[in-house]
Amino acid sequence: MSERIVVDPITRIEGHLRVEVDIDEKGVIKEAYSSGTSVRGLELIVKDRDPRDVWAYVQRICGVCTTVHALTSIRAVEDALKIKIPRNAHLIRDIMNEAQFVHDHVVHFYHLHALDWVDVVSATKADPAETSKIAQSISSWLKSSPGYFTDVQNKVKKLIESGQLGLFANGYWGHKAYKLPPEVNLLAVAHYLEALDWQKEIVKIHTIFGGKNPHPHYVVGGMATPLDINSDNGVHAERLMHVSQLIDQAREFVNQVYIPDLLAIGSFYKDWTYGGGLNNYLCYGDFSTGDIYDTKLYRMPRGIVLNGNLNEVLDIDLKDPKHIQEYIDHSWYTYDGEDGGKGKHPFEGETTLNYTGPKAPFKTLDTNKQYSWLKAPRFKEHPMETGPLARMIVGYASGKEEIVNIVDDTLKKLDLPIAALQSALGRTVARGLETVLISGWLRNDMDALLKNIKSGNQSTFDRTKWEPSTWPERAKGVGWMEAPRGALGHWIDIEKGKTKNYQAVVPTTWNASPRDHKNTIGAYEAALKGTPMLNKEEPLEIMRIIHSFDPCLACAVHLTDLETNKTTEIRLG
Amino acid sequence: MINKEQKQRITILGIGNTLFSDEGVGVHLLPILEEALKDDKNIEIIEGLTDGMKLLGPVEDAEYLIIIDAINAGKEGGTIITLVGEEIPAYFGIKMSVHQLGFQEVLFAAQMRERYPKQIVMFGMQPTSLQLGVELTETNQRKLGELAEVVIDQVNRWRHVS
Repeated sequence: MSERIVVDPITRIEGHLRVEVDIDEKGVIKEAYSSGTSVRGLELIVKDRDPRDVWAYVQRICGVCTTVHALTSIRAVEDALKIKIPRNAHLIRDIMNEAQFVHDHVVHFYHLHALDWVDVVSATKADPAETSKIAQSISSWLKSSPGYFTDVQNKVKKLIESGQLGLFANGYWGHKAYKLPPEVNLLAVAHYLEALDWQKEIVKIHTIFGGKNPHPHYVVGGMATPLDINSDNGVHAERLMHVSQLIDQAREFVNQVYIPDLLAIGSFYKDWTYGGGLNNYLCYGDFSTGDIYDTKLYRMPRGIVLNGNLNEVLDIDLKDPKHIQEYIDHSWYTYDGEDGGKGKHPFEGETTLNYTGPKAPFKTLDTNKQYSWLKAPRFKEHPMETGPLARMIVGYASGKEEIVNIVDDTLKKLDLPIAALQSALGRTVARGLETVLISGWLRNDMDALLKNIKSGNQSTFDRTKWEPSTWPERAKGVGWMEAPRGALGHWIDIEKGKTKNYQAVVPTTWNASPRDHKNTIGAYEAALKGTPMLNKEEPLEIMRIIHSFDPCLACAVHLTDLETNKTTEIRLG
Repeated sequence: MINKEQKQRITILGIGNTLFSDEGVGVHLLPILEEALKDDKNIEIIEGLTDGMKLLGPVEDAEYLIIIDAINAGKEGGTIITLVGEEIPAYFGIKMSVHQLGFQEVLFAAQMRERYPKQIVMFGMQPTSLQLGVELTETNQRKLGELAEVVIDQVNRWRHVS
């Protein structure tokens, strides 16, 4: 006997990600089904458009990851047209991506994920003097006096008394899976509030280099950033100095607040080892110290680890039709008029919508048939996990010194073996570790850029192939990057100066993938299996695991809804 | 103290996703407002699109804030909707911890941090369609001028606040 539990939505935005799980009589998850319930359809929108404009459309796929889609898109076009960009443009792109990583990961930790581990209501019972002692024992961050934590605590108390909890309104406060003492809960809540302030600053790096807030400008062939240290306009000396300061502040926050909090919280959950999953990890790699085509110079290496085997890193070729294929057997699409049976490489990819699911309102999806708007991407028929944990595992298995050192040091501090990383908490720790590394690269890349500019090299754009008359009749290209949520790829086919076909395979498509042609489950589905739930009406465990992947089912329709402002979206089927 | 010449700083923030036809109304309206209000240096127009917490800065910096967005009030497509103060849902009561912080969370965060704008008015339009598409539907497109007028009316009221 099993019982079906439905959690919809998992993401805050109505109707984007839904999870159905079957639990046994002991409350252990036996099977899980991950369903993307909204069509992305971006491929249809960019068809026939000028390839040089596509980045501006695709960056609207998502309000969180705007820059990453823009960057991947221009890389795809540049690959197709064999455009080499100036070194400064490469550096500025990396700086922007690194700033995006640091912003995203800190916001994810404090504002999207922490409350799966931190009980806000419990923070009201804390002794602020004790919180102060803990804070001072783990970090030299200055805001750590008993008075400071008392103020924060009073703020939270006021919120609770007013009944207007807002952001905190709907947690499963008091759930038995929360293990932190009140004092640590208070520490985390205080930093939740501080991180709100901090995140407002770091995004200014995008405004300065991208010229526009909040959606920066990109250009095929380089960057549109007008570097000129002596002018009054454009990016001059004073603005560059501002970026430098923002980078130092970001590193300070990461090293003195984020990481100490992460380890402090993590140390109370060492027994919660669930949420690992596939143990197959995929990285396209990125952050080259040379150019993007020289994968040997990647600070975040490319590669595949299968079955958790750290002794072997396989290569991946994004253009090899046998390496990456997307299957649709459990997805609401057709390929050549058929509803499954074969995979397609993104160059041959097809976006033909074919909804066969139940009409709303419905209780459960028919998970034996098609049940998701996401396709099922596979590497040589293997389902893969992508993102921070994949990057740390592939980096570790590749023997990248920086990665090996930080992983080993952290595991030593927590007194855990490497296998412990393969869990929801491990994923969350991996995200923090890569933030440390990437914020360091942010500093290095900014220094390299400043050095170039000082030596008189202010070039950011190569216009030799700007005009379509210089292009071949037909050209195909792929753009890739490591985005905060994982390996991102865009494939473009250009014909007569127009976009003939376009396909994007985004990190969450790998992670939230439904079953494929062989009924093999995806990363979320695998991560949920075997997890015991303490209270099926409060699926905190499901939240914890899914949020550890930082799900992003793009296209952020965020219509203000006065009609369906419901208080509960969990249904028991 | 009455000073009729005093200028109010007004921020206009257009939000929405322009890939889903009428969802993008808040963004489509901005060029019209930019043209109509271009001579007033006290007005800042921001294309917020679908950004979440990245909009906390502009919101907290605003004194008088106008938000323009698609609003589902269960009305006929193209209906213009005005929400003032408490009517603006400061958060969704969805029983989940959040993934992507939406605009409601941004407003709530500003409130909690006691950096809420002095006044907020939200203008929106009931979508006719949320299908894929980078243009508004004809029905909503026709009402764009009217929506611009109500926004400009509000701007004028604030401009002359003493």
